[in-house]
Amino acid sequence: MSAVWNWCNLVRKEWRESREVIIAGIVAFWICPTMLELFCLALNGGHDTFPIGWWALIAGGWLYAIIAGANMVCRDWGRAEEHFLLAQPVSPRAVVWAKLVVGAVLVVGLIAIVTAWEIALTRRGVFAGDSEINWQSPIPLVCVMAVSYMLAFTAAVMSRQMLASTVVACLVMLIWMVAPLLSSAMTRFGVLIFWSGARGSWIGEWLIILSVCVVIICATTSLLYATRERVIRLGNKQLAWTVGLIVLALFSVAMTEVGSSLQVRDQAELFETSKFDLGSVRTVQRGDRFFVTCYDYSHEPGWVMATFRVTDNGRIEGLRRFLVPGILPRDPVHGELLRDEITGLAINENGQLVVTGIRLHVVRDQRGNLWIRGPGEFENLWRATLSWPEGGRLEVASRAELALPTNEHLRYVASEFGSNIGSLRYGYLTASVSEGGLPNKLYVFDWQDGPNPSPRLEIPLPQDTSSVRVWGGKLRIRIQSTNPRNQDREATFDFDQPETLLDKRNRSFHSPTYNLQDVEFFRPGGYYVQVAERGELAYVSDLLGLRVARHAGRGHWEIVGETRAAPLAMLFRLVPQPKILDDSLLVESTERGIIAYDVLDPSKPKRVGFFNAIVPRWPGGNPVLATKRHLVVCEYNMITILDRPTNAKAESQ
Amino acid sequence: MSNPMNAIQVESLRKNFGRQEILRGVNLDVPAGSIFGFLGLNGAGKTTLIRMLLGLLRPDAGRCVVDGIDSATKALELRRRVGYMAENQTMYGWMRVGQLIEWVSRFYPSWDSTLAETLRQQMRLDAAQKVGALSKGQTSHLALLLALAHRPNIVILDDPTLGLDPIARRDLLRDVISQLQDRGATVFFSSHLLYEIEPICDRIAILHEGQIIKCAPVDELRETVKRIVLKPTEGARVPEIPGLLDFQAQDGQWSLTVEHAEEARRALTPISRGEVLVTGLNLDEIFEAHVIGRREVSRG
Amino acid sequence: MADVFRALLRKEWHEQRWRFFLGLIVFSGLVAGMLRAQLVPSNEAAVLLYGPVGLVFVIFLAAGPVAAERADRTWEFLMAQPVSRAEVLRAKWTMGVMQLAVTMLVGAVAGLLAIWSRGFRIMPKVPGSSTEFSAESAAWLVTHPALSLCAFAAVGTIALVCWFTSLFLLLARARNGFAAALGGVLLTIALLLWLPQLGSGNKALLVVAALNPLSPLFLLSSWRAVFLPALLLIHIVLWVVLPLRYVGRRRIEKWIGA
Repeated sequence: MSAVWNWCNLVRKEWRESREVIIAGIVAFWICPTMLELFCLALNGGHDTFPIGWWALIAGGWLYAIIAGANMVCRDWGRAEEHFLLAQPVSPRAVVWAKLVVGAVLVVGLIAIVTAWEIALTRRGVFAGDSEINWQSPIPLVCVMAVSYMLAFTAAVMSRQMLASTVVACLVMLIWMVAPLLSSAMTRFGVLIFWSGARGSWIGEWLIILSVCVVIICATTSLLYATRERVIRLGNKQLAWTVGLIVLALFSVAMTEVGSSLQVRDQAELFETSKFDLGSVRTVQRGDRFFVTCYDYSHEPGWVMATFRVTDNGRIEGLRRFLVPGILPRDPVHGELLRDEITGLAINENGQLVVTGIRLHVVRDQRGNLWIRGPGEFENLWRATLSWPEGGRLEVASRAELALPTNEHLRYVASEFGSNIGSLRYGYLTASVSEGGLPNKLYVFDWQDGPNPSPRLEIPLPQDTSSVRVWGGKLRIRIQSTNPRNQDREATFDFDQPETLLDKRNRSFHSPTYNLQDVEFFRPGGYYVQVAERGELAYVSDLLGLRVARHAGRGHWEIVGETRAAPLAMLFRLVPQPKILDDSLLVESTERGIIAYDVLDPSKPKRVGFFNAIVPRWPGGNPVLATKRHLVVCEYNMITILDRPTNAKAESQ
Repeated sequence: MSNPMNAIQVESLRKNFGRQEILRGVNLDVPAGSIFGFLGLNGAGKTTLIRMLLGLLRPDAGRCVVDGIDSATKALELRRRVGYMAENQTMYGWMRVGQLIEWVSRFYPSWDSTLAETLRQQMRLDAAQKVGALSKGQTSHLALLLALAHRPNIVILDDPTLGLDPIARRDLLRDVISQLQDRGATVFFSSHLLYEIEPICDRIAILHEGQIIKCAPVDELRETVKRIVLKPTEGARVPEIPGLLDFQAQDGQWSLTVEHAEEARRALTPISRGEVLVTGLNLDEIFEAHVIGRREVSRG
Repeated sequence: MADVFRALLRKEWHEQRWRFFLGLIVFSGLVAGMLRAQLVPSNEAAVLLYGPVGLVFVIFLAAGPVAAERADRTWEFLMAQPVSRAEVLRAKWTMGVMQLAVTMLVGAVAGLLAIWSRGFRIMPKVPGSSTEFSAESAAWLVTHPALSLCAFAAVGTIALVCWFTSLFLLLARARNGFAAALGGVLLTIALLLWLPQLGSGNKALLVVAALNPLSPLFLLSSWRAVFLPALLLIHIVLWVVLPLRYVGRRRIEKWIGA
């Protein structure tokens, strides 16, 4: 009984001594944010705000808990008052218990006050967007703040030093927050992962279990250490060196995880002006010679073509440029300007450049900007064969334009914005009954039929066909559903094999996915799936990494190999587009650069390098090409030659 | 086996801090009802011993029994029964005097509120004043009040007058004596201001280099420890004198501080050219001789 | 007078050199690691390193000298010598600035070596980005990694020295290391919260935000080059010269206290 009485007496003192800390917490995380929220509500036109207090607690609550934990002990322990306190008939463990309980009440109480307030505001509907606070929301916050508090408290009991215990606790919290980025095995224990949106999943349970374990271990250690006579003295110097070296070590581990960038061998600016359309870059390779073209926005818009060689040392040699005028004289029929859009570039068997494109109507507005008209407003499709001999000028060897059917409302078949019309050999046009109506016929032209090829095939389209277009390397015919509850259906074809369109048995209409395999390859956390196929293998990229799959018959695929992206690398990983460059090299293009993989062994794909190239998100034009020793990356106006990663230099993961 | 006549009993106490030996086998008996002075140089280990008496430090070897309670096993019970005032006692500056007294009182079942109030008024401490605003003298008085108000049988004072001016020191000691002497309480008083200890203590012990080198009643010490001054004859050698504490030779004159004066005088008379002078010493000089006395004999 | 100052500097070097070596190793390691890995483009890495990481180093250097002396109680001993408070503070400031500048310089050299080991990579001119600006702007700096790093290092060092001076004087009042560190962190957070006004469309707010000592670091890649030297000069006068001239005045002596 007297022990309980003594303990209550201690709690009374601790509570009174914690007044300043409590007031600081309430002011920082409740009163000031509330005032800001009311301010926003009053001034904001939409009369809404967002939970400032809640976000303040998430951002700074852990630091507050650390300082509260260290202060709880060090305000009398480690100072002269410690001797007075312990000279009373109280055990050091009772003192530690009292401090622990008062601090826990303080931290949980603060979270409860802020949560209750924000829930009240949520119920009033004053928060913009999807900011919603409910009674489950504070669970991860309680875990983090409890762990922070206990770490600082235990460090303070062991050292009796305010600065040392604060710094040690901050360091441990830093390692906890960063650990999931260094190792995927640590992801389930991560703090930040919980808040990234995976609420209610198994990840949250691990966080709670870890937090409870840490709290118990810290409490036990504090109680055991309370009666020890000698404390761990950490001078400022030792502390600072420890922190500095740990930070450096963590950083080194992180950098090792993501690996190093590929070595740059040479760079060259292709064109002299600076206004380019990234989406229009097209590259093609003939051995060690490269051809690049892209659309130039400068005051003389046109197509610039460049060619260069890459030596064995990775040097760019023999760079030559040629400007193909882009704006042609006014269309005699419509009186508008015309523009030639290049949609494809290749090398034929004679070593000549083959260029396909669309001749479009453009309108110049009052400011002088050029605007392209829609897919129905085109002049024609064209194809040219160019020869560019070594040391010579670029010459047009031949040029072909379609013989268009008359009295038909025609549209060309292409990908979005006309950036890719698919085949180099065949041209596709759709015809509809009325202008802007649904297509009912598909014309197929073969460019090898002469300088003005007539339609080779005329294919009636199914009723309710809503669109024919090129997407994901396939020609797609989509039928819209009459029942609004049902999805549209789609059939895909190889645009280099138009005869397959003739056989109705090839028309298998199903729910549209951009790649059939997406459905099979989708996994939680992977989000966007992109596939590159080569023979019977499919290389599947998503946000979690790269998988290799083999066709197992009847449209099913089995995964034969996988490599996961390092957690830190995942932060920089955006929608990756895989492309197989040769037997052993696969390159993923993302908005943050390219990632190279060694795929010689399909069961063990290995990440072997990356580079922060600036390449388009949906590269239709081969921005990355490879020679035996180098990678050639086309970034806007710049060609960059990189060392090709060899198998022997495969990096982590 | 603890002797019920002893309020404090220390047996073969050892304590190391790392490699440093602070206490090397201390034996001490403090009779009940006495005022016991505990002397030693700075760093001798006085505060360490006191903290072990209160159960605040654990000994590496040996035991302490205070008021019949083993301090290692029942420290809490012990501290309830013992009044303690530390050197340079720092209390919670944010509390007011009245608040602090009320808070401390709850730890002691035998707390006497009337006595506490009486002492507070005697010491002229304002209950509403913050502890942090008190002067050094007032702080010491407050610490003494807290040590005495629960009517302990044993009071341990660790250098209680440290940093006080002469008047404040006199007042504090007068309060201690007046409160405790009549009740027959035991006072264990550690200090290095010997002139303070001399008038009030019954017995003293001297702690030097981790061991008790002297423990005796003050009167007995004054009676037995004397200084002998003589002029020795030409070529005279200092005879073997048991209990020699200090030997000084200067300008042909010897000055010896000895524990058994009569014996020493008899041994020295034959080699003295003139009279052998025997003088009494105060506690200061006795302490100095025990602690820093030169015991090697050199030819003067 | 000069002898006294030199003696104070020598003492400061002896006491604070561990901060210098620690900062040098950690900062150079971070710079070299980040620029060799090339996880982000060099100019972004330079902003990250001379911005947030540099600020941590500034807090580390500014919170130490006076607070440590106060906590150890050697400040009273120092003040008892025939040397003015102003002189002591100037000596501490000088040592701090030298350590900061040398660390930033060595970090830049380490970064250049790291970039060289990966091959110097020129950034392409991206339509619609700052690199598209005309040649009068400082934007061309961001395309060349070595020049970019040198420019950010120089501008960043000046910006950090400006903040170091003010922070050092403000934290001279702190009684112990923890109070100084906490004060440094809170003041730096307040400074950073002041920065987003740079993106404001309001001209008055923009001018106020431009007075923030860190603003040149964030304006480097987007402002016209001709304004930057003027802005840096204003900052040096406002944040370094004026406070140091004020150091000997009675007000600041009252602020610092006994």
